[in-house]
Amino acid sequence: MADIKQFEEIAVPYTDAVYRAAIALTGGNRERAEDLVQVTFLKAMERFRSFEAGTNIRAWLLRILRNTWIDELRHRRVAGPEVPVDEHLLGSPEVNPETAWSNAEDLLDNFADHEVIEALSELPEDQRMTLYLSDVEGLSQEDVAEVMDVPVGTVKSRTFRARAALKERLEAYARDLGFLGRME
Amino acid sequence: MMRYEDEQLESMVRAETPIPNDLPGDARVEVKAMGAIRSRLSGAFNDVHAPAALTDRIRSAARSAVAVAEPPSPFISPPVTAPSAPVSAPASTPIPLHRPAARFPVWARLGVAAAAVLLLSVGGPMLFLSPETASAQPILTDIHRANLAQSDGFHAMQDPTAVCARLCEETGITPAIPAGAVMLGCSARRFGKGEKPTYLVRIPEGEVSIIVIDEAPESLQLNGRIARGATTYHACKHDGCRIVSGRINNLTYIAVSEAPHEAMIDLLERIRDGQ
Repeated sequence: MADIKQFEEIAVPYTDAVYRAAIALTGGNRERAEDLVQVTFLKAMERFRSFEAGTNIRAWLLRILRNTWIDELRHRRVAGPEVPVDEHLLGSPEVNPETAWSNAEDLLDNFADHEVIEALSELPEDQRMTLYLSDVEGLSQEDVAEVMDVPVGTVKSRTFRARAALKERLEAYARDLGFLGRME
Repeated sequence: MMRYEDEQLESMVRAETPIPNDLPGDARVEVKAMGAIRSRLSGAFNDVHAPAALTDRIRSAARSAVAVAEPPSPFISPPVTAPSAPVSAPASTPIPLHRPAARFPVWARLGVAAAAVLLLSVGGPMLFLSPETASAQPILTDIHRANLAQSDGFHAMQDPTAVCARLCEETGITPAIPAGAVMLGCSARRFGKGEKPTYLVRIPEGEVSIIVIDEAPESLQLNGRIARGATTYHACKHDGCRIVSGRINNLTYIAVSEAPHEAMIDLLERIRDGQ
């Protein structure tokens, strides 16, 4: 069992991490992200006695954030982007992916940070959070599995599919912005 | 040719397993592209940091909780009853010597009690308290009463489009109008350093003045917070009126009325949804 002073010492320093995740979930909406972070920390304070010392506080906070976000979506009855990934992929066959991505770093350098975050925000909820936790927060797959409440194997395959979906969206952006020509 | 599953490809992206020689060319490009996306995605968040004010609010909320849990005055008696022991604890278990008030369960109970008091005052789930005193509240209630009395430059108008045009002409701000509310009229009212757009609408719960300002809701120093989903509204009661404010599209919309806070939040959300 821990007290509130400990909460300030060990949880509050992760405000940045929770805020970044909130930015990812809200698609870069800073006002909404701030509200989400406040509610998350309030809940975390209330539940701090259930936190096991020595375990991953960041993962614990991010789990509360995720659950808070899901509650928020339920409350608003906003389901978020629900277009199935495979269905989305069907619409963009014009670019030869092997050619388009043969120099991936150069292609990706064309994007501003906010464009990458926006593309991430278009992914379905579970994919977005899984990819964020894995690639941005750098959590272990075990920690991601705990936050997302799914088996580790699911995390691996979901991360890969999420990144593939992000790749498709970035590719579509690149076409729209003229970074990528249409292949005949 | 061997077919690789997503899980195996993911392990290659994360460099947990080497890329095998027999991996087809397109899959090889895919794995490399995925690695590049992984790096780019991580980099996209490098400059994203929580605003200092947000961290301060969270930190002060934690400190406030400590302050609530630890009575500052020695004249305040400690709780007469001991904290409830686990059911399985033997009856002779001594009460811990440390001050139980500093522990979470007690704080949680006090926090709930404090929240309940604030629920009564603002009518919704309270989040963070502002330590400042209220100052804008008398001006806001005066504006609402002037609108109700249709005095001092109030224009009785029912057409929302005409209201928007009139307010834009008088104040330079074109406010958003909630769908479904009955428009009663508008006025430009003095608030802070300039004239601000206000309009009066009727909802089933009563007549509500909407005042639109540029400044952040925090500047109003309304001392209550009401959470609606992930959005936090600033709220208070003053002189028989209820006041709620929220940030919408870079402007602060303030609702003033005798109607319940929740009804006014519904109105603000309709304004937000109409944006």
